[in-house]
Amino acid sequence: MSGLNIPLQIVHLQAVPKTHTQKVQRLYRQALRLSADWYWERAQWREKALIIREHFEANRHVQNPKEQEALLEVTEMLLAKYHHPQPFKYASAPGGTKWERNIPFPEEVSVVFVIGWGRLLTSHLPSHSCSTTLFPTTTPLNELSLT
Amino acid sequence: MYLSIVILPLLGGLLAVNRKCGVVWGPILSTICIFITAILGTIAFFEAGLSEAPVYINLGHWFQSGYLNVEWSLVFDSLTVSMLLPVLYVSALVQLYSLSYMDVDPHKSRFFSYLSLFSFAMLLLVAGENLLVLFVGWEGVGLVSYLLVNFWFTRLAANFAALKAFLINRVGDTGLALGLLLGIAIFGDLSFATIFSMASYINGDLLTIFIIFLVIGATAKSGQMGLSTWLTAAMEGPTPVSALLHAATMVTAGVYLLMRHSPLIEYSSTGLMIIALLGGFSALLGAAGGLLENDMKRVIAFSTTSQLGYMVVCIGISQHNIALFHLINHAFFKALLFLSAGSVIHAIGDIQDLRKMGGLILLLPRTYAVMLLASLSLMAFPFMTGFYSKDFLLELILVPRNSTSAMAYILALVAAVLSATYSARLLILAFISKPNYPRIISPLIHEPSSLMTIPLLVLAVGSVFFGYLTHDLFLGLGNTFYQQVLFIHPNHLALLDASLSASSGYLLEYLPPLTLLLLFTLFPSNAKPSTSATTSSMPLSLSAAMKDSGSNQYFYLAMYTGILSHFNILNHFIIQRTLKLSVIIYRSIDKGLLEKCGPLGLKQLFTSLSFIVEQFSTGFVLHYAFIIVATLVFIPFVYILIF
Repeated sequence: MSGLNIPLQIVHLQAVPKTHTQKVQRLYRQALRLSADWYWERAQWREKALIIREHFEANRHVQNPKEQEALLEVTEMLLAKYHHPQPFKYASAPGGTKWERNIPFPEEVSVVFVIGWGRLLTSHLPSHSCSTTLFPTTTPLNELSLT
Repeated sequence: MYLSIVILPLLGGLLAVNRKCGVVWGPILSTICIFITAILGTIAFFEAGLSEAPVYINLGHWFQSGYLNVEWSLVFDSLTVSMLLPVLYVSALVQLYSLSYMDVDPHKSRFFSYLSLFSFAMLLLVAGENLLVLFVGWEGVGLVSYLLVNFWFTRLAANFAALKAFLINRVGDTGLALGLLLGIAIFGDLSFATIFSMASYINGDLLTIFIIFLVIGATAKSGQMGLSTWLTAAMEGPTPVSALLHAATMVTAGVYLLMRHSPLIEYSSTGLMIIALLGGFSALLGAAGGLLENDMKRVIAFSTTSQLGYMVVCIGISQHNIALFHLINHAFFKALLFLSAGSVIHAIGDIQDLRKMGGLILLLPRTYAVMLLASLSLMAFPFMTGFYSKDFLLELILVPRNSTSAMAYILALVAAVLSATYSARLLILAFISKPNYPRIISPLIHEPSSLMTIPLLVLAVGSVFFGYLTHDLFLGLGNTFYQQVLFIHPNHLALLDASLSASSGYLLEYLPPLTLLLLFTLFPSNAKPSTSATTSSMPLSLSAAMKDSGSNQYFYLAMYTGILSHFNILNHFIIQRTLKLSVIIYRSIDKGLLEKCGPLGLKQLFTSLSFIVEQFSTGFVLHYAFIIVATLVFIPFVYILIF
């Protein structure tokens, strides 16, 4: 569902930019991605990317913090204005088609099954999708939980 | 044999998750079961369909309430066995395909179990002899579709999509359940044989209301206009699920319901009109939605809405046999489209966005070939499977010569042109245009494995030749294949007019060339640089940004895409207001008036009364004596006063 962009999770994943340089870099990156959403043909997008670069370069030497803030604000407004209803997301990126698919269990909550003659196995899932930790057979069952 | 057609998929579903069968053999056994069922289904088609020997099976008594007697009974007549073909063949091929497609998934057994259970529910639906057995299958299909869409249940997006599908289907189920109750009230029985034999003796208005309830159910299940949002949301599930649900089985349930009730629908002209217009608008809406969608699977999902719209239009103009024929044809080419889309998605690392594809014709020539065949069949290219049903239905819509059919004709014709356009767009963006995928995945792109290719080839043969081979069987003049199962009122017979009239459909002769023309005109549009000013004139001040009129088209575009894919209108205007209204009703009536007059009010009344009565117990004998004397005087006084 492209309607579900899961913004909260992205907010958690992205650290808050500390410096002004970081803020500008991120806005530049967002602008490039946004233009790639609208102009997916590479030749067209390249043209737009150069124009975006030009705009950013034009204000490279602005030193006044108030002007800088104003520029950042305007850029954010523009990004919001031209937002794409269905932004492209890589399959494994948050909100992508493979995101959250078959999440491996965390180590601390991996389920332990006792099968047969006290042979202890973790989940039957293959190793790439589940953390497998083997326990010694002598461990009592009640001590196995949440290790 | 007929019973095993229904039971074998259930067995396969149970075997798939059996611990003894394991991760490897469970799915294989499930696939074998469904393949045997497909063979049995073919035999049933020959026996009950071609040999005209319908089978009725009574499995036992279910319940009796007053004069209502409901039994577990199944019927295999020509309509049911015709439905068996797409349902069983597509189920079997999808399971074969999934053996390879879902190979790396840790929950493969569960997946196959769901697939088989889904086929079981669908078979119960098409084979049920009374409305209640049909309803059981109907609910089963809804439930298993929820489970299948939510197959990757750790995905938040899948949870939302599955809930959306389930809840929208509940709207339809409510309609059908109300129809069921009304059916009991009108007919006194739920058996199809009884209902249809009484059709011509029932009050027309009651019949129309009953049909509207059925249409509500069909609208939700078949993704018609208004309740179609779940169809695109359900693309969250794995691609074989999309092929199974949205090509052959679940979405055809609504159309099947309407076809099954053809003896009733034929007696309600209002119902027919509603159905025709609903189908026409759905066809147009789906085709328009597919034009601007970037997700490959969603384009095909929108096209499903569109094609189902055609089937509903057919029912609206009383041509149930064409609806059935288009349903079967559609199952072949749509399953092929979904499965080949799955191959593409599988090949390029699960990217579904058409913007990041392109140039795949050189890397995936086989997939391109089958997808081209499916698309040509979808856009009714002459002598492909889709042509025989779609072209004929467009010809037939004009025969009745009334305003409804004229409107439906215009809607369906525009939708036909648009369907050619979005199919061409899909092919061009995915296969022919310049490559746009990330460079890192280019060495990984590969053709699907042979296990995945076999179903594609079988379906490709079906979507090229099936229509040519069977059009005389399903549409032929004067054949007795349907044996009155699909009833067409003599006043609505149009098959002869369409076949013999030379003038009807003079526009249609230009439709295939028109689609080809669109295909060619679309091709360079992808490479043409845009002259619109979005980022080139990107102003760096807010006031300039607000004044920039050149960018307004993007707002329209966003709105358009938003309306079609997310249904903001539905969300903001209908759902929000319904919620607000229900809050008001809940607070003022449920928790207000009814509470005050009901339990809470009575409790407060008794509390206050008992408090007053308590005041009388003062502890003085004189007071008690006074109350007794006063009562003795007061009661006869009141008695005399009243009587």
